[in-house]
Amino acid sequence: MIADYTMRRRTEFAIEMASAITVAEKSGGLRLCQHVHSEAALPLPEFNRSTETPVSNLRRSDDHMKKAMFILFVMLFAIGMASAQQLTGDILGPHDVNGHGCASCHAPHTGAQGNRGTNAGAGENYLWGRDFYATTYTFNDGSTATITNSGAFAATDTLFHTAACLSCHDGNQTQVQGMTGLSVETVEGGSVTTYLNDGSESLKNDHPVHTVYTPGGFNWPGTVNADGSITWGTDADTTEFQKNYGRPFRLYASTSGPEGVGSYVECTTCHNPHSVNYSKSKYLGVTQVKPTNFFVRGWYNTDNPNSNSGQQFCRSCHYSKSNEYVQHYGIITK
Amino acid sequence: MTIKLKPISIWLAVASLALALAPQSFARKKKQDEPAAPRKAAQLDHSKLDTSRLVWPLPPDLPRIKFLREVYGEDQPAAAPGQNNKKKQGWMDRIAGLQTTDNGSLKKEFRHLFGRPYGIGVDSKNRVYVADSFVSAVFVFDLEKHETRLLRNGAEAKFGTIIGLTVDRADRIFVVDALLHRVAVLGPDWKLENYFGDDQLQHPGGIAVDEENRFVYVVDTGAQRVAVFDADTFKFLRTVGGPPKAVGDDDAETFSKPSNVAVDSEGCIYVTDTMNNRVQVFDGDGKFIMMFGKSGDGPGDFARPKGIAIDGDSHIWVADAFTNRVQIFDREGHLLAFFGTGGDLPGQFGVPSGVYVDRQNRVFVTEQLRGRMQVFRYFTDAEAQAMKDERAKKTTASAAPAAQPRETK
Repeated sequence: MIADYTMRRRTEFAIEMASAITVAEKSGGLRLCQHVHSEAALPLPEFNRSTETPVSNLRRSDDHMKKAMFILFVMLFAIGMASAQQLTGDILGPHDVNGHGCASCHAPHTGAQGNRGTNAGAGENYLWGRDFYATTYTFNDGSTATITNSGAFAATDTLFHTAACLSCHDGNQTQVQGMTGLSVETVEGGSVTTYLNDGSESLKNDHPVHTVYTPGGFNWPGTVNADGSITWGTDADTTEFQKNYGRPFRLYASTSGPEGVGSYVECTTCHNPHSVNYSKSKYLGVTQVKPTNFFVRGWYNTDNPNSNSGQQFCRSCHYSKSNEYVQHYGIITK
Repeated sequence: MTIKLKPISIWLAVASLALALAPQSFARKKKQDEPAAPRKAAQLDHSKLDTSRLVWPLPPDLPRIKFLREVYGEDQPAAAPGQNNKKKQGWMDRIAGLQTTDNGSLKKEFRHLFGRPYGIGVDSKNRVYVADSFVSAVFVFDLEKHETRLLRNGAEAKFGTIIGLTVDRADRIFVVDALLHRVAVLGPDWKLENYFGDDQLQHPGGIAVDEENRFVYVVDTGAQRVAVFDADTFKFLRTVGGPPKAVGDDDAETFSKPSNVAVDSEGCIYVTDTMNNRVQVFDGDGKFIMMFGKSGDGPGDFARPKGIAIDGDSHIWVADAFTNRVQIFDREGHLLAFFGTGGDLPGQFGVPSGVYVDRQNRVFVTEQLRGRMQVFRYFTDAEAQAMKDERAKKTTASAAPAAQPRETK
């Protein structure tokens, strides 16, 4: 029974994908299918007809099941082809700045020798004295503390996951910053642009970062662990959401920060800076690759005007605003 | 409070132990032997710091850089007693100008705090100008009087995303607008005089004025070149450098998203070639002279160098946005010193962007992460020599030669 149900869901997914692709082909907007071969796209019209068959019949009839299975395989093949062929450049996309690759963001470790000097072990290459590796702070009571000047925020520091982004996204290095209000979300009665940003490049109206997650916020049916990972509840709503969309975001645990100990929302909570158009995340334990945009960490297909993946992404955190939370299970992410 | 102080006492205990065990070798090997010190700056109580003793390099070396103060926005008191309140404030509140009141008073203050400060300039009346793209205004500080004025978008001028800023000797204020790709010129009375460059610039960033040759240099980050304008007529003259000819091309005179420029006393320009992680130097005719720096986190290396400035001794100060430090080079590009690390304390940086050295050798550094400007004092070579002489006089005066113990307890 469970297997049947899963199959139905997958078939429905295939149907949704098929109609999405057809719509996008008409408008020419969906990147996913830009390079789909015509033979791979051929079964689509026929498949669309089968959507008229009631889903309940699909489940009962073996013939229909076989047909659905066949179509499913064709669809998966088509999606696979599309995914494989869309990748014309590196998944770093615009984060590969002028061909600098990883060094666009990461500073290679170059040791203590610096740009002069011969003694790599000691910092004897500075003319103004040696000890620049630390700063001594004096307190009002006369005590001191010396802090190592280690440079960039450590990756274990939650701020690293925002500071590294801001080191380029300052309105100057980046011509068009992310979250420029261009993304369109479909809502009841029409489509609106997201109001994550005012359209300028100053990150003015963006979602706040380096804020701590408040336990119990957004009616999360789960617990945030000390290391920032999340153990989700097993109730029907949560399971449904996990299956339908997954939980692609990440929280970063910290022992300090403005709000003290807690799990923090940073830029990379929502963005994966290493992959511009693909997101790989788990949908109730099943890893799936989905189209995305703007380095969003989850399925975020704003090229498809009929997609509801955009709001589903927001709801993976803002769970209390989801269909599943109000027990509408029939609205499938597409 | 007691919890916050704990790591310090641990550090002190470990440090004193290390001193007792190896008194001679400690100074030399300090870097390697350093125990797991609490690097987390946030654990140190900001408000209990005596910042008057914050210098680089560490004693016994002669201090060359001294911390003066930090500014978070409008009308900030000189000392830092209220900083705990400020730290708890979310950045959303800061945009809204909401202010947690100090000493429990119910008085509602409405002040603008920094959002994303970048370009810095100082005029002849000692007023400090800071362009903030987030607030869309230029903050004007009178640091002595603790007075702040704002030159706002829609009031004094129309600002889109303002990045670079400089003030020339005639106290004209040049504000570079990346979004509207032009430069706004305000007179000494803060009245808008002109806009220029919108037909030439794509996405400009830093700016510098060559007073002698009468040039205005504007770094066009978008077009990956430096545009040169006449300082009086604002007529476009020429460009310096250009974009890479192919992907991965990093030849001299090609830029990869350059961001800022500084002019030295001889009219040479120093351009931070940000994504190529180097500084390129050109003469007043735009002829390439040299370049220095490479990608990395070691001393003298760069990871997103941004702000650049020249001090009274013709040294080059470069802010590094990723490694959160400011490095100082001599004219040949050899590293003299660096200071700073990622953090919130004075002398630490969170994504530093703009650097400016004024005529009194005060060094201003703006930070994007927290929205802060720090002010330091650079002791010139002459001042350092005087300090050295004085120190030598003292040692000869006191019969016993000083053992020069390290300051660390």
